[in-house]
Amino acid sequence: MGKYIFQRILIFIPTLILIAFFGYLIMELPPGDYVTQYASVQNARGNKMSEQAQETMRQELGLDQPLPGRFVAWFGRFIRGDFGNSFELNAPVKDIIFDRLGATLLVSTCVFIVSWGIGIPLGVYSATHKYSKIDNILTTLAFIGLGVPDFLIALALLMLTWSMTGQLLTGLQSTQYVSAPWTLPAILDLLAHLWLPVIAVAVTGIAWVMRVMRGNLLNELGKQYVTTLRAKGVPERTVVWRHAFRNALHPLIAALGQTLAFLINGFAITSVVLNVPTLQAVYLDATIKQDIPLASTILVLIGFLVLAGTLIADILLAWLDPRIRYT
Amino acid sequence: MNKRILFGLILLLLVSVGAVTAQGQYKQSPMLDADVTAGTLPPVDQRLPPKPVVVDPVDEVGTYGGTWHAMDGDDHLGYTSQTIFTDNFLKWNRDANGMRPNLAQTWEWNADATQLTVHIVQGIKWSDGQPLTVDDYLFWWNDLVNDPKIPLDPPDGTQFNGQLMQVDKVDDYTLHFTFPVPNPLFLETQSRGSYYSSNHFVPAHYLKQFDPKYNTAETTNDDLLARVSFDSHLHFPDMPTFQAWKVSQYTSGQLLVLDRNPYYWKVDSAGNQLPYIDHIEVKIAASGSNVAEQILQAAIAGQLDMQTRTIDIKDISTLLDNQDQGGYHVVMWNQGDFASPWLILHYDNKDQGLNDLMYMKEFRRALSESINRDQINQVVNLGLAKAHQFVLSAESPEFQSDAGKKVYNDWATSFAQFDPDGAKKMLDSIGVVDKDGDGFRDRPDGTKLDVVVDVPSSDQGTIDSMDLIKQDWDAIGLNTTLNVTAFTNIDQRILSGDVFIMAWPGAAAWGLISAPGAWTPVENTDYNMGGQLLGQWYQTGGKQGVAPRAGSALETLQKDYTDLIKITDPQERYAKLLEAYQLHIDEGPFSIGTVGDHPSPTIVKNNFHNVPPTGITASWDLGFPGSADPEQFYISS
Repeated sequence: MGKYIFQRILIFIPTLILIAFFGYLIMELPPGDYVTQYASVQNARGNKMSEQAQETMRQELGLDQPLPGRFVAWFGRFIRGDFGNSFELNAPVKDIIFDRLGATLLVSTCVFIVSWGIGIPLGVYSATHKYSKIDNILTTLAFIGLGVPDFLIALALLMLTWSMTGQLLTGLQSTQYVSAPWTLPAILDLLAHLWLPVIAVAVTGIAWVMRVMRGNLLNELGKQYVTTLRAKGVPERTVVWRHAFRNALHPLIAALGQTLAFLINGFAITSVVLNVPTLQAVYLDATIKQDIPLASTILVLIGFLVLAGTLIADILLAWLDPRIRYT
Repeated sequence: MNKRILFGLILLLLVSVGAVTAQGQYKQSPMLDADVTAGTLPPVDQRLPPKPVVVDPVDEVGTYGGTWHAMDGDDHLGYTSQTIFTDNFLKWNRDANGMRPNLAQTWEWNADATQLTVHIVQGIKWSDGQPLTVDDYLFWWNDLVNDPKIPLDPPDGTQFNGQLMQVDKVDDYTLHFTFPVPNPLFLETQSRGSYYSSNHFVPAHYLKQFDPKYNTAETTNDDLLARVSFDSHLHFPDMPTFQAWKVSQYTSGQLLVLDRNPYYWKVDSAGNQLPYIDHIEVKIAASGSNVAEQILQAAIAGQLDMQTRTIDIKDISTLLDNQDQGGYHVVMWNQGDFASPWLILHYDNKDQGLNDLMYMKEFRRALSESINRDQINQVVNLGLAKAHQFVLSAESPEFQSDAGKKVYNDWATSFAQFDPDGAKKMLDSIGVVDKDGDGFRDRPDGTKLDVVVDVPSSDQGTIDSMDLIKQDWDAIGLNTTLNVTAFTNIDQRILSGDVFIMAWPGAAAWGLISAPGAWTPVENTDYNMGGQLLGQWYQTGGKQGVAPRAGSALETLQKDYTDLIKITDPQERYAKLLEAYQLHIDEGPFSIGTVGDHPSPTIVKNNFHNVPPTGITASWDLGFPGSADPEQFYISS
């Protein structure tokens, strides 16, 4: 087990550097650099920038070096925790990310807990009551949940609550609580806003977890060891939860690698629609505006989380299933 | 008896005089009373300059207090800057017809407009109580702009053929400017929007701590630049300001809160220190979100007190339907746009064959007359705009005389009627006919003619309009392709001489003061008429860029501009300007207009007062809503 984990971590590091390099490369691909972009923004507002001023700015930002130089300089600072300054927002990337990390993790963790917490029991129920009336209803609902995009659900909920209460639940807080200390009213206000994005995004999550759980469990329940267990007179409860369920969990655990990245990468459009200050919306914007320090930092961060998630999933699976750790 | 009455009257008089003296000459917001009583803030009379600037309210003298809820598009806080950061040397009149004294109260020019002495209001204090003097302007000019290590450019109107203006201090409140060439519009050009002199008077006493020259602990310019850059200057609650409100809280991507500046230097006609409104709360739309959508939602939910800009024309009916529920009304300001989209024809293409076509007026007229402008107006703009030729904004001062109105009308209607058959005949007459039988017209020499239009992907209205124009042009046999792409990419193509026609979303221009590049190719910018390379050629004195062809109208327009900006008498300047415009009517169109003069819906809560009925929003240079004097807006309880 120890050797297995060590091997995994050994592959982890070069992959990370590779991701960082490609992340940086992708950001460099579009024509023009930040300075041309910046100058055109200024231009549109009637403020001109001379060629000389643009050159000075390029030097200041280190954009005049060749590509390998730009990458090495950027990566060296990156691993020291200095992510540079965002071009577009005129502020340290670190601050921008940390400012949004709270809201991002809050929403996504809630989404994660709700979708797995509700999705798994529903999936198990569906599988164990195959083709019953409730299973059919749940299946229908799950397909609707998978089919309707989360931002549409968010908009529908937004309009619904607005027409019923006159409250517009965009953002995560009422303005008087932004950056205020966490008193009880502030927490209540947060909860009053939080449920909307969480439900909107979790609907898809629940549906997905439920379908995967149902399919896998059905698969396991048809296997010979289950028949053997039942023949031996093991209670159905133990058969399902202790034996079949554990095996049916594999694909979900394997998907955990993606889930961790989803925490800071999912529901970008919902964030945009609901005006929730999350990292994904910032990432989207930074990519469009070629804000290289910001966009590549977040991209590499997402890559890092996919890797870390995969690593955790690998270790969990190895723990769950002895066959894996000895191959 | 009489004596006693007289005595009583005298006593009454004395008491009331005493009361007035104790109370002081000016009144202040109750919000500040506690601080003044506690002694942490000087009384209002000491905070105001000896002669404060008096602002006449639009409708009536207001009452103090309240919070103004608004929304901004992103962390650059451009809308907010346009609202509260427009105290320049001069200020636009509320109807945008000319300018009025503001920070600069009096000034003297020499005869040929090369020397200017400006007197600013004496005794203004920064929001931290420090005096504001011309040293604050000189710090910006000497320590920021003229420091080669700091990438801040001398703004428009301060540099001529590479020669900078010279600024000298006469006394604490008087500046003396010397220009290498006549520069009669200096004060006007320096008073545009929220990014000229309002941003040039900087708090030197505060900024020095971030300047590596004065503070060795600072190793980079980042801290300094972030504070003087107009798209981040509202991020710093500790930075003093001389505008009506100061920042008290900023949370990136979420919220900006402003409080009244207790040292603001203006009073109303009744002696109340302005502003009336105590706080402004600006919700910042999260990055990447659709701000028009956010504003619409917040407006109909009654969450906005006063908001202009980025309200979609197509949303007007939704806004009007929900007026009662949201407790607001919609005031129709004007966008003052001359064209949305504006088709900028390029005469600086790498392909000389395309330039040959562009220099032929028949070709340009065919392009213009084949466009069904009414259709664009009905389909894309709900019929709320006006269909006309490319022409400068009707509100420009030179168009206000009778002669001006005539020029405007002639220009707006020139070659703007829908006449596809006439357009076909014109193309036939210059040999632009189908030579290879593929159904599309070719160039006179027989090579293929592809009409490629660069369209910015950021503006849906422009894309919709261009789809219609493509149909119109295809119908007369011009093979039209729309290159819908990011603005940055178009800018690159403009500079490399690859653009034939560009569709510019919503354009506004104001004769000589705002974006003259719209009517004469003299600006080194992407919106320059005829192409940026022509403007580059003009600005660099022929060192870079592309020259207009000898004897062409474009060359004449450049020369006209050179002469016009030296004229010191406004009336003579307007007359000459109209003469220059005449060329657009006789030889034009040089670029093509579609529809313009859109209304600009402005949301005003029913208890929000003193908002003037007119305002012009398309050009940021005009400084709206700042030019409507937000310091005299008030909220009734």
